Amino acid sequence: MSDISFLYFFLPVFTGLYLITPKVLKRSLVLLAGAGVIVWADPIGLIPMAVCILSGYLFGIFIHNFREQVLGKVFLGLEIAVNVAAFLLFHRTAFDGADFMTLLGQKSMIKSAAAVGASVMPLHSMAYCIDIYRNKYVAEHRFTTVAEYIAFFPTFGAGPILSFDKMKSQLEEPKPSFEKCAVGVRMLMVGLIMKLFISNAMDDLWHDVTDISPESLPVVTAWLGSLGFAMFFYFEVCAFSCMACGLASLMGIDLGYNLPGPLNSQSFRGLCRRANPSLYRWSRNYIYNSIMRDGNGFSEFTAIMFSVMLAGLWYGVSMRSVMFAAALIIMMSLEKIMERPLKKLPALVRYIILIFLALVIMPFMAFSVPAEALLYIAAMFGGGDNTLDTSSSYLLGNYCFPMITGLVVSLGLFGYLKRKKLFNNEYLTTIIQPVWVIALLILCTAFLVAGENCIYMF
Amino acid sequence: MKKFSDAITVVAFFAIIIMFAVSTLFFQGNVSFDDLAKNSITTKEACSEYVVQNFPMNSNWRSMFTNLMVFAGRKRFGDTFVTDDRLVKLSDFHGVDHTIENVAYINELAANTDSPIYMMLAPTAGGVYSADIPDLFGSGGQRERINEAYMQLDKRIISIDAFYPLYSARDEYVYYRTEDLWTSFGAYYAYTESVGQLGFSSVNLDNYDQEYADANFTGSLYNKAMVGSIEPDRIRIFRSKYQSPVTKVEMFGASDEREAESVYFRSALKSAKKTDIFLLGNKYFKTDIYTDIKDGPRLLMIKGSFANTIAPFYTAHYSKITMVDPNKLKQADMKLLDVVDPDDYDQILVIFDIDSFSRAAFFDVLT
Repeated sequence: MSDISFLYFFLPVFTGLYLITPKVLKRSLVLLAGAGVIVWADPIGLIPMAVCILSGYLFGIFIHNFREQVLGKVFLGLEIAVNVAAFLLFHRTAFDGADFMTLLGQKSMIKSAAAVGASVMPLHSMAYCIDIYRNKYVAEHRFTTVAEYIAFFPTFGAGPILSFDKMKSQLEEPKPSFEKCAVGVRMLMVGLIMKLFISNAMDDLWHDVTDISPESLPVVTAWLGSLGFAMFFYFEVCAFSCMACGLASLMGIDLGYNLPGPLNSQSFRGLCRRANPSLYRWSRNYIYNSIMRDGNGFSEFTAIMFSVMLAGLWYGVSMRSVMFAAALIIMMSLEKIMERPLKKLPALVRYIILIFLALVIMPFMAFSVPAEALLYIAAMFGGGDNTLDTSSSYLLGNYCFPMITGLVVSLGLFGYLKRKKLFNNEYLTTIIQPVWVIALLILCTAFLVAGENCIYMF
Repeated sequence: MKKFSDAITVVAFFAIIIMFAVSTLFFQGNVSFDDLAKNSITTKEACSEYVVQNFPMNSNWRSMFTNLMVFAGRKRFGDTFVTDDRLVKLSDFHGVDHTIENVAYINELAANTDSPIYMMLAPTAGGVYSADIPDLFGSGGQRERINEAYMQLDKRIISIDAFYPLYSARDEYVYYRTEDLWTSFGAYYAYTESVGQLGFSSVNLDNYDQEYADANFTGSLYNKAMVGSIEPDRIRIFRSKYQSPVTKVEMFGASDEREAESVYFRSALKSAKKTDIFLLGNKYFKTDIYTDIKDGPRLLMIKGSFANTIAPFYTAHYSKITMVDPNKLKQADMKLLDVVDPDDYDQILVIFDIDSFSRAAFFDVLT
């Protein structure tokens, strides 16, 4: 959803059509464009799209009508089962080509690297029905409104995962304007350059490191690799979320996504929240809160376990997600148990411990085979032969620029500049904004023409 | 003022996008969609490739990308590594290694013929300049890989060491800076090493006139990476100061045959692959070179791309040299015995670079 054909053909054609289409047809146009994006990637992706939309719409009405009765629960259960099935069967990551079928040792149902939208639409559909069941809002009878919410194509890559109540009015009454369009192109370009310049470079760094066998992996190289993968992991989602918000903004819809700075976190919970805010919100609202009712320690542990494990699967139904989620559960549980002593520690010490542990568990997300992850972690602590480390200096030289840029962004520099109103001078902004956007467009074009990968990897 | 800035941003953004999109669709056409569709697995791939290939100022964009990245410290672009003064193709150590299998095919060929067999596995620039390449790319082990391959050879096969002479001459212009190939100089060093083992004395360099066929050559590595800081190459050909011994060159392809009077084909300098000036590169599955050395021995060369540059030097010693490209034979679904009888030759020489040799999956045509 970010290659050169998308930027130079799909984007102007779709935006032009969207702006001239009468309001009543705008939703149908978005649906049609979503279907087109799916067919472009892999036509089989139309199946989860149809299943999620139809189940969300129909079960939404049924749940609304029977929510006081047992049937309401039955319909909700069916809705969840159908969407979980759609997620498991059609969500496949480009990172390692893993999906539920391959996990079972069966042939994958999808040919393409990643079936577009299969990780987002089921979550939208379930959130919509669960909220109806919880009496948060009533079922929407206009099919196209529900369908557009569930299959809102700008979010097909990495979200953000939306809530219907916040989106409904905007979907029904989108208000495109020059201001929103300007925000849109800005976010689109920022997202695209993050993907092409930072995320891809960090992915390359990781692959360079894993080209060395763990037995001969020097310590510094191993830590650099883990940092590189962590940054790739964050920026991949962040970049595509940013692009989604940009595209939505061009349509006059505000998805309310700000660039979070995960490196500002003081805890694993905070790190998860900032790494993928919308997924964190979704798993907290619909999994954690559903389990965490009486507030005792056991139910809290169960709630953490289920919400983290299921959120982990969002990054790919494979052993690596399960292992990483398990490691994260242990960390979060320990963090909860040691809450008081940790609070007594100076903030900097807590911060160092957090980043250290996060980097230690990161290889679990990167390796499909747990034993390989363990070997890698051992190399991080000197398990490999580190007598002659010639690779670290190369890696630092080769990737320092994207890495430093990534670290600065991860520290929340954009938010800081915004808060400090550094560029608040009206005349300065008038000049900077167009120059900045065009410069990014030129850079992104150079990357895309040079053949840089632009596929969402999770 | 803010509204004005927003309007300018949006209008300029879409104006640029539409301008390039229209230009791509209607004013370029460097590559036709049908050609791309033939080589692509899906229409989607063909469409994306069509847009990239026909994008206005394609090479400028790519050059801009590479130079920016080099400025940012990046040294590797896909399988191409940028050192201070050259581009080096990195060995594909993720691929399947066919070395042992290929050596076995050559052993089998030796068992089926009475002619003595010689084998020269040449290092690539990645091996000779491995000190400039980080260890993690695995270029440093070429000498060991060549020796391991030689250790597997049948005792009847004589191995020729091309690594040492090329490594010793690494400060000279022995490899192109922008192409994964040795220069005429590099080939000459390998020739002097090999020809002694083949039973001849090498022709001294003073006996050749050096001619610059092209002084501004940018090879395939440059076209992939587009690094502006690397100097273009010079293609040199060595012509005998006396009468050239070559009388006739016959080339046989799957669909055409060709005849010439020289091993150098200047027409190739007008094509994209200028190094094809040496025997037209790898276009034909069999090439016969006849010389005026009557009663001289006959040489059969089983060749990879490195052999094209070295073959002109051997013409001073043989009455006939037949070069057979096993890759082209495989593509034409033919066997070695369909095109030559190895017993008709006095010597058989296998020349490949170690990277191509270990990745090649076509040596079964020799048996």
